[in-house]
Amino acid sequence: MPIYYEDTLENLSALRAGIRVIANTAAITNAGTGQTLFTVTGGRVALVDFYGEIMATMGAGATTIEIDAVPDDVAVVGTSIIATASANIANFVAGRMAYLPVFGGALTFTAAGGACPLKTGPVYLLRPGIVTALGSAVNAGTMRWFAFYVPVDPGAYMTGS
Amino acid sequence: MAQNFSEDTMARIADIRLGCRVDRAAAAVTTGPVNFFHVTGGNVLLTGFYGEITVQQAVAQAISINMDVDVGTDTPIASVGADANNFVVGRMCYLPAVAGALTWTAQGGACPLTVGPPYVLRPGMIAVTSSGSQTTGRMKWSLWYVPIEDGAYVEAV
Repeated sequence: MPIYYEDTLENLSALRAGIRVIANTAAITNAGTGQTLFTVTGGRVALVDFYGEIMATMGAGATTIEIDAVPDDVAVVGTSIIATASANIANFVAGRMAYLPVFGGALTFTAAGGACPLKTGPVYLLRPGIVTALGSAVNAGTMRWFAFYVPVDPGAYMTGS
Repeated sequence: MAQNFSEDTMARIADIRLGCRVDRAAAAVTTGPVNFFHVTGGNVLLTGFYGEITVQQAVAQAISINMDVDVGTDTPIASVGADANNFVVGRMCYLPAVAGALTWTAQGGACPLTVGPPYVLRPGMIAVTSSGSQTTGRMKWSLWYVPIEDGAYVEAV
């Protein structure tokens, strides 16, 4: 039975799944472009995996979430929608998770909280800017988000909020 | 635990995860066909591909991409896409599902790299053909690959 040090496990994870960044747990918001989850800096990156996890049960108000890529030059070229608005997540309990769909589809939540697919959509090339979670309404329920990426341009990286 | 890697390590992780990246510097797309990438030494597996506008396009231009093999019959990788005239900086194009048209993003935040399947490419040229020749517009291109025969590799042309 293999036993690895924690840092070895982290490195294996990075090689297999991509470099992991985490966005802090926060409530759902519909203000502006939504909650900034991740920032892409220094050049292009490839988003290889992504998921979100409900940490505090969602409130009763109807709420959907979409995931957007807002480039730094958004005024010129516009925001890309990575996942369109999810189903209504009102009252979704802690533990349910969300993942990116096939290309052009809606952010998809799991029905339960044991497992979540990480790879149903394509790998995305992200230009410098931010990745946001835009709610259709404010919801006091909270989520945390994980992204797994690799740099495309030298010096490019992602950070979590 | 936060992951802190050197730039070089991150680049190697990217190679392992996506494949070897080859970049073609920004240039005007002309009617062609113009050779963009050279597959040589054996077969490779194309794992990702995209193009990005770096200077706004100013000429009517619909682009298609072919694999012009050294020996055998050429194969279209992407049929003629939409006219990219006036497309702004940041819009990107990617390979579609098999036999589909080169597809453009409507905005410039993100672009899927792996909608199409991984392609085995035999030695030859990835060539780009356009309905018009750009004057001021410029595009850069990147592809990712892994060799599937010893000694095979891809270089930008």
